[in-house]
Amino acid sequence: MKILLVEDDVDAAGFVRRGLMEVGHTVDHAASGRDGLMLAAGESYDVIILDRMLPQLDGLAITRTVRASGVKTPILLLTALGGIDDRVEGLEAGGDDYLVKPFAFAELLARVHALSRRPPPQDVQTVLRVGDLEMDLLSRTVTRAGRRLELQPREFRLLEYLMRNAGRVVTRTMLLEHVWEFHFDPKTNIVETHVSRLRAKVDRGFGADLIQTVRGSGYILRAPA
Amino acid sequence: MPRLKAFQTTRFRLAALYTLLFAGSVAVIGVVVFLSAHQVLEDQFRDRVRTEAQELSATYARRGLGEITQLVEIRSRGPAALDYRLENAKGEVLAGDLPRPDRLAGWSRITEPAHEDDPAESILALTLPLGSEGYLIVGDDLSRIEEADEAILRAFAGAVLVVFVLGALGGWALSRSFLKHVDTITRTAEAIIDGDLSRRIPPGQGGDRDLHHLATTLNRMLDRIQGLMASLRQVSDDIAHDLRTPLTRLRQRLEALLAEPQDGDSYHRGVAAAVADADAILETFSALLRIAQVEAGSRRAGFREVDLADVALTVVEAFAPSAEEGGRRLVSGALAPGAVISGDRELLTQMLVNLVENALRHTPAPSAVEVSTATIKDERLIVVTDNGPGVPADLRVRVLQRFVRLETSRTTPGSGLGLSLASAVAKLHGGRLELDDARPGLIVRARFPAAWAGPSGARSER
Repeated sequence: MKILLVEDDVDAAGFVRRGLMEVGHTVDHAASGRDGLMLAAGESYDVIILDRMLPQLDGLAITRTVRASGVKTPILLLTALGGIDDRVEGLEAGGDDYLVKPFAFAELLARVHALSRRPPPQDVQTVLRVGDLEMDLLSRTVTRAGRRLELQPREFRLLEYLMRNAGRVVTRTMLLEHVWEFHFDPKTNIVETHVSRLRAKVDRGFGADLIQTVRGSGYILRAPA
Repeated sequence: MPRLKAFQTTRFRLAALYTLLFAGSVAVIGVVVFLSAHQVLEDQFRDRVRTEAQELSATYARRGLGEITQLVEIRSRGPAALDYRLENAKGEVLAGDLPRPDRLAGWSRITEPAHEDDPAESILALTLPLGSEGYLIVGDDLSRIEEADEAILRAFAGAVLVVFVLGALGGWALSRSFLKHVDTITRTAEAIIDGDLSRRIPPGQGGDRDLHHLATTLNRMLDRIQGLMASLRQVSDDIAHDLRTPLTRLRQRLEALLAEPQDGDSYHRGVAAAVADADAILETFSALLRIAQVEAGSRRAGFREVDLADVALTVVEAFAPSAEEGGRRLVSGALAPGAVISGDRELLTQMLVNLVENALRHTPAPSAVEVSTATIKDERLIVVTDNGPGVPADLRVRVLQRFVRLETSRTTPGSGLGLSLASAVAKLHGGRLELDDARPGLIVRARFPAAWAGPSGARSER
């Protein structure tokens, strides 16, 4: 995957770049907003990682310019700690996701992967399938191996998000944001309890576990090999 | 305060300006009066002289030279007489004592040299020809007009002087009352610059509404600044106080790790613990910044209608399973319909999450926590009730402050910021948190005004 990283902090950029390259991605790094904008407009990337606070041209301005010129590459904005208005501003400017600095690398990686393989918006799916698990989004029913699973509304949303991201790691914060719309970090691990309840319904008694825990990162739903 | 030189002050300038303006007006009036008065006097003077000369000339025409010689003799001896000179064609004086004018036609000015006790006189005279037999010259002393001119000038000079004095005094007095307030404001500002943030401008006595309004506005601004400063200082104190300990611990841990073999198991455990320490520090830091941002109030711009019952249900549904695992019960109680306020859904959710987590964390299992909403008159409430040990009455206000944790809860995890963030969110919505005794347990009410137009709306009602 080809990734553009726009980040002025040399240490932070080096850390992210090394991490992304270790898992096999190509990374172009721009240290200023102006260079970043030039690369974003000229080259073709799978994902752009953009720092909010940049010298000369800030991340929001770049996002707006890039979007105005018709570039649809997914943009992940990196925002400063404690900036509670940053997310809304970033998404309004045309960003696709945001991550508060400092972050765990696993979190960044999970979000980059989630962004890069987003289905195109016009591609409306009505049925999601992973292995023998099937979710009908219209009738809102879930079956596994033909057997009907009774899910609570929130469990349904949780499973839907996992299925849409099947094969990719989703982190605790990604689930909090997308399933509960909590854009803050509760101290109680509510994700863990909800996932374990969902697991009890989806995996218990079916032999192969679809939902797996990825230590230090989050969860992954994938069909057994 | 650095003293300004007298002439640089507004007071001096205002006084000087008033005075100059007044004196200038008086001087202009003086000139106008002088010129018109002089004109009138001179016209009258010429009329008198002309009438006399024409009368005598008419007499000559009727009676001849001899007759008017006698007449002039008589006239020139009368009281308040004009000056005359009657001369024949050869230039010999027949009557009168006026010196001969330079020009024997029309108006001319004659200077009569001083003699004996008479001072020199300036005379304006009219010369009329008497056929071809001679000339009649009639004139009068200009000193009367000059005296009048002088009197007028003297009067106005005096007036200008008085105006200068009165203007200076008046301007000084007027500007004094105005500038006294300005001085007070300056002195207050100086005191604040010198570090006394509690100083305020005394509201002006007397009827000057402008200055009174200015003073109260400035005082309000100072209150706000002092509040922000206190909040800033609070944040830095808090950081110093509550981050120093975990930072020190982190440092010690890292230092100890330097001595460990890098491939050892305890090395990896140590690094993981150091990361956890750093995360805890960042979490505290983030919470502090979040409180500061909520307190700054910028989120009000994005307020929408929020149904408190929705918020309550979302939070209860999200936390009930975790509560259950911990042996506690989290349930939603009575949810009043129409408990809708204008607010920030995300922050209200976080507020309730903090209240619920607080209740779950500080009550020993098996405990029960109930979330309900209510509509009471023009207030909308979210209420969190637990049946735990509660909070002693004297500490209920204190626990809303930053980092304040009851000694009994020191051992449980938490930054001590949860309730203060909740309190800041309530305040952002024009509401407040209220802690009470649930007998047994703690009841926390977040009370919001039903219709709240924000602090600007509240101010315009003043």
